[in-house]
Amino acid sequence: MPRSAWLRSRGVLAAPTAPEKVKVSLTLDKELVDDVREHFGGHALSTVVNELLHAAMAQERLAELVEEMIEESGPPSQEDYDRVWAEWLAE
Amino acid sequence: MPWASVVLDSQGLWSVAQNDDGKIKALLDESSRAGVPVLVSAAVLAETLFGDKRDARVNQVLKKVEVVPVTGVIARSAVKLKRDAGAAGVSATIDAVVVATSEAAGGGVILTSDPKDIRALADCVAGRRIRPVLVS
Repeated sequence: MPRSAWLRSRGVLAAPTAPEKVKVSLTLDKELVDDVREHFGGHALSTVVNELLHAAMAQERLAELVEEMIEESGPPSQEDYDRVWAEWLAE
Repeated sequence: MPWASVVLDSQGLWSVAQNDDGKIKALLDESSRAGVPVLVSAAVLAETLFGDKRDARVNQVLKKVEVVPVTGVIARSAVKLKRDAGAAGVSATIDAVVVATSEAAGGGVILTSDPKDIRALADCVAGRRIRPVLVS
């Protein structure tokens, strides 16, 4: 399960009130739906698809933010990546 | 997945909005590629925003990241962290909420200008790796 969907399922990203729902009709790949049902068995398909769409949108928005930042001020250097990893791995 | 989440404190959020630090871009780029969520506590919004046009750049960033509510679980976790770290005051409360938010998200990176205080609180979290990354 994508990280955002996992956080939402644990209530970390839950909205304070239940969001309004809308009923839609979708046509999806049967193999994909079977896979989703098997992978997330026990959860309603609507709930799983809802969480996965939230996660996909969050990823899309973050990618847009990074693109905009790079467009505005250029890409990060290899040294920038190295510094991030060094701080993450520091004891 | 490199780290489970990225949580921004007030200066972290401001620095993303200012976009003048290559390290932040590198962190967000790595996170984006790995599907790692970037989170901001609602408490940080209260601390950071002015409520006027000075918020414009920050508001642009807030459209692209996820705002996490201060739930009862997170608030109580923050209280415990404050107590365990021997911290007090409003600033420490916000820092503790930031660290508790990271804890709830499974740990990860906290983008901050105050790594020492964040580290002191993060060291009180059991079973999660939480590391501050310094913004300039």
